[in-house]
Amino acid sequence: MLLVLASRSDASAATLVRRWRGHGARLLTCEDLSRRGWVWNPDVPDDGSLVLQEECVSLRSIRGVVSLLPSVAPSELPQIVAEEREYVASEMMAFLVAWLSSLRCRVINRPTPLCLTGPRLHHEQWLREAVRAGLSIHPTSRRVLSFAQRSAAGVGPPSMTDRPCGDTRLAAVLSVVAGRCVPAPTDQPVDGEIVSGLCRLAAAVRAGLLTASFVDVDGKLLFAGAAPIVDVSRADIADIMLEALGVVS
Amino acid sequence: MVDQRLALQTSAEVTFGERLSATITVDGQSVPLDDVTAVYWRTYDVRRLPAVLAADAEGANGAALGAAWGLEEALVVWLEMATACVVNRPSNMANNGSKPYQLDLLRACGFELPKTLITTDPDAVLRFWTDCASVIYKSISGTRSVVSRLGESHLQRLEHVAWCPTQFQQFVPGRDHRVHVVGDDVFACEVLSDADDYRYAGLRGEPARLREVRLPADIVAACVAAARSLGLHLAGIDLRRAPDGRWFCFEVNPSPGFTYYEANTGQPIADAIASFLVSTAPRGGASGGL
Repeated sequence: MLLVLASRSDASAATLVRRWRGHGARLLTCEDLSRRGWVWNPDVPDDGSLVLQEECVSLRSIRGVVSLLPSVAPSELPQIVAEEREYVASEMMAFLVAWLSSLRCRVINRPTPLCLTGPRLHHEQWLREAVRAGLSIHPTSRRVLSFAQRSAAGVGPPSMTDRPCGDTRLAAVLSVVAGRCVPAPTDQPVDGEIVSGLCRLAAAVRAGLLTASFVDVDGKLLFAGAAPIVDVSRADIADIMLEALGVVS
Repeated sequence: MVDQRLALQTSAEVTFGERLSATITVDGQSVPLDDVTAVYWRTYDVRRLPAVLAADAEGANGAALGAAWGLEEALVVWLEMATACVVNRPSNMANNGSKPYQLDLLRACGFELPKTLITTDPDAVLRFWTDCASVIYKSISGTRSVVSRLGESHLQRLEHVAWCPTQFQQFVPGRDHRVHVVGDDVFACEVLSDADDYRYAGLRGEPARLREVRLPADIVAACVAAARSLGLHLAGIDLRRAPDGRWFCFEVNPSPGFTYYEANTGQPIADAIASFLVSTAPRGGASGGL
C-alpha cells in the first residue's frame, strides 16, 4: 500500500491517489486519526495498525509514504468540538511527526518537528542555504514596524511581516523530487549549474520534495525562495515520486 | 534585555544579502544585533501579552497581535541564524513539541525509556494496562498536561480515545529528579513528593520539596550527552530513579523554568547561565556578521 497523507480538501492529493490507485494508493487524512484502531508502540515501530476510511490495516502493509500535509490545522478537524480542535490538532501533529519519522518503509519526505512535509525554514534561512549550495540569491530585507509606529502612521492591520516589494519578476520555478530536478513545463531551459545547486540545496536541508522560485534580474536567475512542497497534479512529478517509492510503473 | 512586555513599542529589521544583519529598536533606541555575542531567550505566548490583549480590546482589532507576531518572527529568524551563541536555537527546541519523537532521539544516551503506547483503541489500552500493571496518560505534544494515573474511574470514558491518538506510558515507581544542564555544568535535585505529577502537588495540599543531590557519574554524563545531542546549551531533564536503581528519562525541556528549582535548592543556575553566556564571548570584544 502507498500512503498519501493530505488535507481532506486537497484536490491534487485526491487526484494523485486516483492516479496511483492501481498501485494500492490510499489517502490518509486527519479524520482517519479520529477513528478507533490506531495502535502504535514506539519501541516496536514495525508493529501496530492504522485506520483508513474506517478500515483497520497493519503497519506492515505500508510500502511507501508521501506527506502532502505540512501541519494539522484546527480546520482539518470538523469531527472535533470547536473548543477542543486546537489541542487535538497539536496532539495529532505531534503524533504524526513521531509516527512518520519511525516508519521503516520508504518515505519520500520525512517530517521535521515543525513540518510534516520536510524542513520548515524561514525565508532568510532558505536564502542562506541557497548561498551555501552555490546559488545566487535575491537579497531580502524584513522590516517590522512597531504597533506604535503603525498606529501613528495610520497603517492598517499588518501582514505577519513587512517585506519590500522590489522588481522581482518570477522567471522560473523548479522542483526537486527525491533528488531529481523537475522544471515547470513552460519554463525555458535552465542552466545546469542552477539545477545542480538546487539539488545540493534539497540534499543539504533533507527535503524530499522542494519547489524553488527564481527571479530574473538583469538577465540572471536569482534564487528567491523555496518550500517543501511540489505540484502533485503534474504527471511527471507523480511518476518520479512513484519511482522513488520503489514502484515500477 | 529586550523586554517582551514592550513588544508594541519595538520594531526590528532583518536583512540577508551577503550576510545576515539585524537591528532592534525600542522606544527610539536602536541596538545592532550584529554586536551580540550571546543571548538567552525565553518568551511568552504573544497572544497572552497584557499589552497586546489591552490594545486589541481597545479597538486595535488584532493589529496589536499581528505586530507582536511579526516582531517575534523577525527575532526568531535572527535567533536561528545569528553567529552569536543562542540559548537555545529555536530549531533545536522544536523536538520537544513531540514527546515520543524526542524520546526516540534520546535512546542512545543511556537512559531507560518508559514503555509507551499511542492509540485510538480502548482494547489496546486495556491490554497495555494489563501488561504494565500501572499506567499513566499524558499529552503527546508540548501542550502541558497533568500526568495522571489510569484508574477504574476512567473505564467508562475510555472509548473517547477513539477521537484522538492518546499517549499512555508504564507507570515507573520511584523518585523524580530534575537535572539542569548548563553547558558542561549539571545541577541535580531530588523531588520529594508522592504525587503522580509533582508540579501540581501543591494544588492537592502537599507541595513537593526539593533537595540538591549528587548524581552517579554515568547519569551526569548521560544528561550532558542528552543536552548536547539535542543541540541544547541549557536543558531541564526529567528523570525518575526506580527502586531497582534504573534511571528513566521522560523529557528534556529546552526552555526550563529553572527559577522554581533554584529558589528551592539554592543552586546557582542563573549564575551558571550568565557565566556560560559570558564565556562564549570572543576575546577582544564583539564580532558580527556570518
